[in-house]
This record gives sequence, C-alpha cells and structure tokens, in this order.
Amino acid sequence: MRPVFVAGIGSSTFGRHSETSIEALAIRAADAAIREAGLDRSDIGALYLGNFVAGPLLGQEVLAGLVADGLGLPQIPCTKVEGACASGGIAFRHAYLAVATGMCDMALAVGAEKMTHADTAAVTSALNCAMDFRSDGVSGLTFPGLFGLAWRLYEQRYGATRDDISAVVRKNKGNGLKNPLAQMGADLSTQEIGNARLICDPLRLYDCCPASDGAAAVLLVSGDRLRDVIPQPVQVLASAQARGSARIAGHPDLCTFEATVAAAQGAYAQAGITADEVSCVELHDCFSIAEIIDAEDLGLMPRGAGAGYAAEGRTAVDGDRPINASGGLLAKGHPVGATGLGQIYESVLQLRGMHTNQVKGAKVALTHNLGGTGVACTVNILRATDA
Amino acid sequence: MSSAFSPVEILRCAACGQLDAGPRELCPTCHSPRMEPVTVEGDGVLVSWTLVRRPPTRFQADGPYAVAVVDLDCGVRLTGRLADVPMEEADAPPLGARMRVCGGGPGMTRFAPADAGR
Repeated sequence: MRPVFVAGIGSSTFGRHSETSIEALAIRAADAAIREAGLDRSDIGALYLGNFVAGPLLGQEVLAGLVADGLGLPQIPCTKVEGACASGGIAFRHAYLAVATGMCDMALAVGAEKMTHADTAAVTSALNCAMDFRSDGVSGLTFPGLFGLAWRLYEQRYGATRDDISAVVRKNKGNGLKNPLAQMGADLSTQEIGNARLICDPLRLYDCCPASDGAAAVLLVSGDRLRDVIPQPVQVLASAQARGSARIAGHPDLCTFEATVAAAQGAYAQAGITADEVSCVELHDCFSIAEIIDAEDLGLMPRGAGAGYAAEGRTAVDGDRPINASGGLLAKGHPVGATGLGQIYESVLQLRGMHTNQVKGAKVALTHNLGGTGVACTVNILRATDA
Repeated sequence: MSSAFSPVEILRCAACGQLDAGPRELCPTCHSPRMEPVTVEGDGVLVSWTLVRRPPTRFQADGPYAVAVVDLDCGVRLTGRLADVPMEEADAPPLGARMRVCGGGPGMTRFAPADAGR
C-alpha cells in the first residue's frame, strides 16, 4: 500500500435544493474538487459514488455512470456503493484503495442524496430499507426507535440526564450557526431542547438530524502526483471499514456498535496512533445520543462519560476533545449518501487551518460514518502535511 | 410467579443446541444448516422500549406503537411490541421488569408485564 493524499474537495450546502437534480448536485461538487486540485480529469482512473435512497425516493439508479458522464471523465470503472448512511464513507474507502493499491493514480469519491422533496413517512420508509426485514423490521422499529431504545438503557445504566444529552444538541446546533454549509444551525436553550415535541420517546425534535439534499466529493491522488496539486495536500493515514450485526439481537449491547469499535481499532492500528493523538473528530450524530455512543465506541472517552464530556464543554471547538465542529449531522444536515464525504470535506478544511470553526493547531482528524443498525461503519484518519 | 405457559417459537441448532430468534439459515455458532423450530417459554426481562410516534408508511395505521426488546430466560433477545402502549412514561413497565409473551406473530411478538391481570 502506498501513501494516498486528498488533492481537492468540493461540496454543496446541505439543506433544501428543490430546483437542483441529484446529478447536478453531485457533478458540481465533484467538478469543484477536480478544479481545486488543478489536475487533469482525463487522468482520473476510477469513480466511486455513495448513495442510499435515490432508488426509492427518486426512481434513479446508475448514478455513478451518470455523474461521470456529466463530468466528462474517460471510460473508467464507475461504481455506486451502498451501505445505508455509511455509503459516502464506503465510497471514500474504495477510492482510497484504488490509489493505495496502485490500480490508478487518481480516484474520485462522490456522495449525493436528495430527500427533502419527500414527506416524512416516505423518507422514514426509504431509510428503513436499511432494517433487516426478516427480523427487527417486522416490529415496526425505525432508526429513531433504535436510538430511543439505546437512550433509555444508557440513561438508566449511567445516570445521564435529559439536560446532559441536550448539551450535545446545544453544541452541534451552535457550531452549525458558523458553518456556511450547514442547514440547521441554531442557538437553542436547554429548555427549548428538553420541551420540544416528542418524536420517538425519549427522542425529541432537536435530538434528530434533519432530512437533507446535498453532495460532497473528494479527489484522491498518489504521492507522485502531488507536485501538480494546488491546495495544501492532506494525507489519508487510515481508512478502515467493518461490519456489525444487522439485528438488535446480534449486538453485544444496545449502547455500543461493534462495527464502530472494530473499524476504529483497525484505523488506529493502520495509522499507528492512539485516540489521544486525534485533534478533531467528525462523527455520525444522526441522533444526540448517537454522538455519545459513537464517541465512547471510538475510544475518545470512557464508557458512560460521553454526556458529561458534552455538558462540561470538553467536546466544544475549544475543548480537549473537539467533536463535530461542523455542526454534525444534527445541524449541518444528513443527505445520507453524501454525509461520509461531507465529513472528509470538513476535516480537510480543519487540517488546512481554514475552517470557520477552526480547531486550533489541528494536525490529525478522524471521521466516523455509521450505516443502518450498525451494519456498516467506516473510520478514516487524516493528517495535515507541512505546507 | 405464575406457571402459565406462554410459548414462543424460535430456532434451535440440531448440531450444537444454539438458540436463535431467527429466521436464520446457518447456526451463528457452528454454521450448521440444521436450524429447527423449537418452542420455548416466553418469559423474560425488559431491556428497553421506545414509543414510535412517527411510523414509516407501512406501519402508519399502527401508530403510535411501542417497540420493546426483551431478553428471554432461555438467553434469546427478542424485538417486539408492548401490548399496552404507554403514552406516559409512568404507564410503562420499568427496565428490568419481568415480561411475558402474550401473542403476536413471528417478529411481531407482543409483551406484557408478567404480573398483568393477576
């Protein structure tokens, strides 16, 4: 395996793009990544596209080929990958592998989703395609439901309070206010969060990420292409993927995802670092309680401490464990297939020292993208290169 | 504790005896294809529950409904629903409460507190 670098990034805003097709969102984000890098697109050797629900919500498949066509790429292999909400992270890992193994010197990873045109029941149904419909799905379990189950057990086991968990929402919504790509930044009081309408007890409105439209793209290159790259390159130190059980009964516990634990262990080993060396983290906070569980699974804090870390400000941009400076899924939004690549986009800005919520002295960034009931997870570790 | 039998059908591996909620083609422990139906007692402990207030399209007519996870005494974890929907927290059985299967079908097992109606 040879070193791989991020040469260019591009992203739409996350939110409502009623008048723009999913192809246009993806093509513009990818074109921006190619142009930023300053490299010739005819040298791109592979494209991987992460998307989850264009089939059920738009009736459109073969997006990888459609996007490559719009970008004017050569007759290269173009592949759509799907792993529910981890689709973008998986696309990134495949592009990474294409370059790392020497299959090609330049690979493009794109993620795209359109959701806001559909009503809540249709979006919930489309996302529920990631349930195991021979098992938990039969009960009518939803993804908010999965995290509602986890929350109730977590609060009983660790004594976390509603207000502790609201601290995650306050932080991410606040971070989102300063991110120009974010859909739902807000200055919310603990009271507003705790009194919002119930969605899936004990989850309330602001505990849940919004449905979003959006696209993000990353151009990856080998080291020998770096001399032509315009922006300060960022090195991909690790890209790990693991599977977990698709069924509740298959998880060792409701308050952990074994796919995250395995992918994190793989990524730390690959990068040769520990969690303590990570400067900033973009993780999969599809729900407020998810940020706490994910952070503990990633080894960023001890079991049961996650809610306390948020309440004490330790996960704030200026804390000792900055998490979701972008606003995360809760505030930036969650165009599911694009989310994993949006996390890379945010992390690259951090490592270039150019983020609107800049973590001071950020050198190493970690991204965490989780799909389905924890059935798929990717963890990536990026490092700044000296300018 | 009542001795009334509340049966629920799960799978048992004919090769190694591993129990599983199913459906499953191969034993998760020894990978044998001989997973056979077996009836066990539907008594257990409430692990957690949640109230789905915004169901997806195919469950729209059911909402709101409470999804529950119960650990049966035989060691198998089941996802199903609470028979009585607790619209207030106070109406729900506490986590750890003794529960009993009281109907439903595969994957849609219904649970009620074991002491209900006694």
